[in-house]
Amino acid sequence: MSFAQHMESYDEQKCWQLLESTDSNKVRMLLTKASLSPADFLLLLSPAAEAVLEPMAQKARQLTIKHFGRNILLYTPLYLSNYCVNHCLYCQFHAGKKIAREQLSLDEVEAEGKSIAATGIRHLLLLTGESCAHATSAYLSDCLRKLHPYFASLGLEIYTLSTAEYAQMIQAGAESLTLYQETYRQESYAQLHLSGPKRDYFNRLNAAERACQAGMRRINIGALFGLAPWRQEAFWAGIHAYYLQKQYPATEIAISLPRIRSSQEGFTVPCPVSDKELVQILLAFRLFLPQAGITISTRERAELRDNLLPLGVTTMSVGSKTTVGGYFAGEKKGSQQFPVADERSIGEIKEMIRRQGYQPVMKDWPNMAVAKKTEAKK
Amino acid sequence: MICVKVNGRQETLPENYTIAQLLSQKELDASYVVVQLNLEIIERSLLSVTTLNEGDQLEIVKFLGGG
Amino acid sequence: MGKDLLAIGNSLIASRLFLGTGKIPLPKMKQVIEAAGTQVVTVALRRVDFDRRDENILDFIPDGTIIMPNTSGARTAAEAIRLAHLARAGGCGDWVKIEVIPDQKYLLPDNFETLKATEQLVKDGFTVLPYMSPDLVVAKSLEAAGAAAVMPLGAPIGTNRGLKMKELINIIIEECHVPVIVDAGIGRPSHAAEAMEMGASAVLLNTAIATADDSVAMALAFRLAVESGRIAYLAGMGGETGYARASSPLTGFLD
Repeated sequence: MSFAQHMESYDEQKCWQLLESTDSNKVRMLLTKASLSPADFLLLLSPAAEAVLEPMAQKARQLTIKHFGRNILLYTPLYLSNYCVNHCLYCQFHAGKKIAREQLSLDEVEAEGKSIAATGIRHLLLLTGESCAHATSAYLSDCLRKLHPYFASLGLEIYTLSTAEYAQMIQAGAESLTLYQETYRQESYAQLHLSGPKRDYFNRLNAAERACQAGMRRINIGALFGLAPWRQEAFWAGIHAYYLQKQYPATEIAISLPRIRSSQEGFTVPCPVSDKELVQILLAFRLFLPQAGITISTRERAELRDNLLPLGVTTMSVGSKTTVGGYFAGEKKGSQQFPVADERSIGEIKEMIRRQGYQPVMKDWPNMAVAKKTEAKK
Repeated sequence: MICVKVNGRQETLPENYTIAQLLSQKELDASYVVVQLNLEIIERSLLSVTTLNEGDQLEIVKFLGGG
Repeated sequence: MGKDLLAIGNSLIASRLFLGTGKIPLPKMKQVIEAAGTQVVTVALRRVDFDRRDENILDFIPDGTIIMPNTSGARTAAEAIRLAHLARAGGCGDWVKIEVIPDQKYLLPDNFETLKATEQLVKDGFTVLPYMSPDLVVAKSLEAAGAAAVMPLGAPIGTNRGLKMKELINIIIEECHVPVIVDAGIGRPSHAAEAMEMGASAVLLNTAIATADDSVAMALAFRLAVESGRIAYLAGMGGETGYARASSPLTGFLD
C-alpha cells in the first residue's frame, strides 16, 4: 500500500465536519491520554482547540523534553544550483523567472563546505532546483562525496528520485532527505505547479516512501503552509508522518512547518497562516507525534522562533543563505529562493538557546567515515 | 504379507491392502482422520484406492482438544 | 452502536473471545462454547492412539464455529508447516494457529521459527495466526509476512497470571495494523477486560475456563468481561495521568 492509497481510507468530508463540530472540553480530555489516534489529532487542529492552546503547550513542552531532552539541533542549508525546469508559482527560482542561474562547481562546493564547517556546523542540508541538464544525480553524488569529510550529516532537499537513485545518494553519503509535499490538496497543487516534472502530484506524494524503502535514515516531510487551508494541510502532513513511522520503523520521521510569505514579486499567499495558527499546528504535531523531530527554519523571524522553541521544536536552521553558495563566495551569486527572516549568527542563536535553558547541538549522529579517517591519522 | 509402520508401530498386513481397509480394521471413521503416507498427505477420496507396500510409513492423526 | 465485527482472513467475527478446547470434557464442550459466545475455537492434532476409543471432538463443536487447528507439538518451523498441512487436509478450513515451542519448561514460543513458518504458510494459502512472545520487531515482521493477526502471550501458557507483558503488548497494539489477540496467561475475567480496554482485538484463552469448577459459568463470566472491555475501549476512556502546570505561560506571546 502507498500513502496515496492510505489517504483514500479517510472520509475527507467527515473529517472536516468533525473539525468544526468538536468542543474545547473534548480537546482538553485528549491531553490526559497516553497516545493519540488520527481522529484525536484532527480535534487538536479544530477551531475549538484554540481555547486550549496553553495546556496543549505545557503538555507539548513536557513531551518534547521527555523524548528529546533539552536539545536543539542546528543545521545550515547550502544551495548548489538554482537551475530549474519547474514552474511553481510561489518559488523565486521557478523556470519562468528571469534570474541569474548558477551552479557551484565541485571546487566551489568544497570551498563553501569548508567555510560552513569552520563555523562549527556539522549538519548540512544541500538544495537544488530540478534540471536534468544541471544538478544531475551524478553531480549530487559527487557533491556528497566532496562534503562528506567535513560534516557529520548531509541532508538533501532536491527534486524527487527513484528508489534506486535514493539508494545511490545514500551510498554517496546522504543521511537525510527533506521533501515537502508543498500542498496535499490536489486541486491547489495543480493550480500552483504549472509545468515541469513536479506537476505530478502522486509522484511527489510517494517519494518519501521510496526514500524509506531505499534505506534513508531520516526523512523530513511537511506542507508549505499558506498554499491551502491550513487545518487540512496540517492534518494530512501529520497523517503522512504517522503513516511513514508505522510503515518504516527503521526510518526517523521528522516534520517541518515552513510558512510561505508573500514575495516581493507579486505572489499572493492564498491562505495565510497567522502566528497563533502556526503555534496550534506545531502543538498538534508534537502531541500527535511525540517522537518526531520538528524543524523551524529561518523563514520565521527571530522573536517568533525564540517563542516557538520550547513548544516542541527540536531542530533549527541557522546562518542561512538562500542564494546559491554564499558562505565562502559572499552574496554575489544572485537572488534568494525566499527571504531569510532570522539573520542572527550561529553564535547569537546558540546564546539564545542556552538562555532558554536548552543545549545547542551541532551533531547528533556520527559520520563513521570521518571518524575512521581521524582515527587513521593518529 | 507385508510389513508397514503405522503411527510408529510395526504391523503385518496382507498384500494389496488399501488404507481404507486398514482404517476400518482399526474401527476409524475416515472422515475424522488425516492420513499421511511416507510424508505425503493422502486425500480422503483416494484412501480406498491407495494400497500399502512393504516398508511404507503411515501416520494417522485426528483432532482433539487443544489451546 | 453499529455492529462491531472483527475481520480476520475472509471472516467477520462478532465474538472477541476465542476459546481453546484443551481439558474441556467433551460432553460439556457445546455448553461451554455457547455460554462463551465463542465463534473461533482451537483444536490440536495428534496421532491416533489405537488403544483408546475416543469420540470425535468435531462432533461436539457447534456448526458454524471457525475451527483453528494449532501446531502444538512443533519444535521447528518445518514441523509446524507439516502439521498445518495435515490439519488443513482434515477439512476444517484454512485457519491455523502457529505454535512453535522448543522450550519444554516454560513453554515459550520460538519467534524466529514462528516467523519462518508464517512466511511459508501464508504462501501456501493459509489464514495464519501466529502465537508469539511480545516483540515489536517480530510482530511487524509477521505482519509483513502476511499473518492475519498476531497473538502475543500475556504471561506463560497456563499460568493464569494475567497481562505480565502489558507494556510490550501495548506497543504492538499501537504499531500493528493487523488484529492483536492476547493469547495465554489470561486467568481471570478482569485480565480479559484489561486486555480489551487496552485495545486488543480479541483474547484467546483455555485453562481459565477449562479448569474452573463450573466451566459454563466461567465461560459466561469471560464473555461479559470481554464485551465490557471492548465497549469501554470503543467508548474512549479518559486517561489517568494529569500533567503539571508550569508556572509561566508558554503561549503568552500570542496575546
